[in-house]
Amino acid sequence: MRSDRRPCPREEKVVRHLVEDREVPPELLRHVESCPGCRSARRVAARLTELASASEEGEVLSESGLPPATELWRTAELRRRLRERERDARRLVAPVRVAEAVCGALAALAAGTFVPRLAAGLEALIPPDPAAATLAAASAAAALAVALGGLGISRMRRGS
Amino acid sequence: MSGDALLSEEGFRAFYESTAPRLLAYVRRLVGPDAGADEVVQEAYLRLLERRPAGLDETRGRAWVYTTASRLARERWRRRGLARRWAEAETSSGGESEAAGESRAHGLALDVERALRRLPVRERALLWLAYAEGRSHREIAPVLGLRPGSVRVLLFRARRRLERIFQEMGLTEEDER
Repeated sequence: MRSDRRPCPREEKVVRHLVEDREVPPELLRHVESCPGCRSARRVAARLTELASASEEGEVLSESGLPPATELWRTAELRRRLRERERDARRLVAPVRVAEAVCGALAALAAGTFVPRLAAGLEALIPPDPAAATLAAASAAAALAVALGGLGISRMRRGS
Repeated sequence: MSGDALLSEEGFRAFYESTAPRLLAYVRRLVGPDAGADEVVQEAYLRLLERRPAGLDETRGRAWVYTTASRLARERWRRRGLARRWAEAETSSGGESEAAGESRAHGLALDVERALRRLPVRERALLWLAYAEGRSHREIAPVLGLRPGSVRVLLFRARRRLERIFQEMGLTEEDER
């Protein structure tokens, strides 16, 4: 008598015979009777195949509640076209993105090169009078704020 | 059916009609009857049509949709907390038969369904594919991302656990057909 502590190497064969409703050869049947694992597999297979045949999904598509194949085919076509359009759009925008990146890099380079020189030049221009220096700094800040504001508005317009 | 034929409109229709109801039955055992099993099945077929894997015959096509549906079902199971909802539904129904006038066979099927629900999702998948659909270990392994040798051992454990649940529920051998 075999024990049911390890999987039986013949279990798979037994189950396939049962599920496919094929006649079990007498030799295999004798094995099932003497093997607790295969007997257990036979019990479980009987219950699960019964459950499968009692299931509401049935074997026919029209009884399953799933959409017909043509509907899926059309949905897949629509999705495919949508993906193609997205890909095309990305391809169109790509040069603009590259140009933006190049401009950004050039601006950073220019800033790195010219800002120290500009600062040195401005230092030479600052009047020794503190009040005049404050006025000059405030004017520069206001000009910068106006420039940034203008840039922001133009980006918002482009975005909308 | 060759790969090209399977992914033609007519070939797909035949393939879908012959495989989808069984796939739906399988996915329902993984995610439950009211948790969008039909959406999972449709998504699996849509992905097949979109990705059009090379060298697809009917056997490979079936393995492909089963693998995709298993993955989608497991994701859905984890993401939506379906395990907890199922457990709550079981508690509220008290494990009793839902309709008093049901036939004995239908009542037994419901009990088997309840016993299955007490198992982890991978064990349900293994048991269903092996014992309800009669798939070989070699067919099951890629569907669940396992090695064929592991399928044998995991299936053995799952079957023993299911038998224990049957015993706890009082589903004895006399209840067999």
